[in-house]
Amino acid sequence: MTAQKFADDELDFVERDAPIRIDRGVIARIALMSQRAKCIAINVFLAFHILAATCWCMPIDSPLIPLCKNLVRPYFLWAGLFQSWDMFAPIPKGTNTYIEATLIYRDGSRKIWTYPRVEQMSLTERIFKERYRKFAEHLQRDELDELLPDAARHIARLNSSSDNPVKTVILVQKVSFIVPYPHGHGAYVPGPLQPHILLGYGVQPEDLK
Amino acid sequence: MSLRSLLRAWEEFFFAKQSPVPVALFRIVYGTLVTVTLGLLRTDWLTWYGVRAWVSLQTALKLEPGDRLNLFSVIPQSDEGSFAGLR
Repeated sequence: MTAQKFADDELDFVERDAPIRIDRGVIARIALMSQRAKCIAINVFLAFHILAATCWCMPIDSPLIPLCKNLVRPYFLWAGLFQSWDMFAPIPKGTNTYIEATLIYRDGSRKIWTYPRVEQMSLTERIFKERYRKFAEHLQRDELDELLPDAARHIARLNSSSDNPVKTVILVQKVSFIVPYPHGHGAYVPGPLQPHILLGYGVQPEDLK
Repeated sequence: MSLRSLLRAWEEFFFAKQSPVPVALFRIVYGTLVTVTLGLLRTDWLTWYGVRAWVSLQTALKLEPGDRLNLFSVIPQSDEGSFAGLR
């Protein structure tokens, strides 16, 4: 190969390849920018979730915490990221409770129906019925009072027969405060059970359908 | 701790090359637990998620308003639809 031929070939190569090289340069820059944007987005995502989850769970009485909670609440509810640890802090639960229902039937008879108590179940049953414990806790929260009529209707359906339906459901919470044992050096004992009426509900025929 | 060392620690913790095995195992275990939880709920599925459950969908939406990722808002409001959601 002569020098002239080599130069021509080289020129052809440069001319042919130049647009490709320019394109490659642009593509590389775009890829780099995209990589950088991705990196920033991932870091923002991580920082936001760490900060938001910390504010959500932090058992500290600070005016900033509710502010932060209110800001992230819509997103946390949408994504199902909300989680409450109030059972453990700052004040652990101080009562033993369970729910009973007094049922009054159309013929005037009465029956006491006890909501499933997980603490009295066998280990195997507990595994299957854990949700009952969780729901019982929610039923007893003042801010969730609107659950009570639904619960009363469900109990009425569970206990009615076509010839003798339930007419009235009285939901009763039995509460026993966990109190310090006298001279017990930090030991606690359950106090006596006290009844607390949650709801009296008159069952309508359509509730039983 | 300086800002630079904090950024380095952040970078190291989140972005250093690591074996994917622990995360893969975590995801397998987590997925198994979710599946087991659904399986354990099966006998009581309609008690909690049926048309005549402990809580109606209307009450649930009233107590927890706002948009959310909720399968029950898109599947038919029937016991069959609820079971389809479980599957």
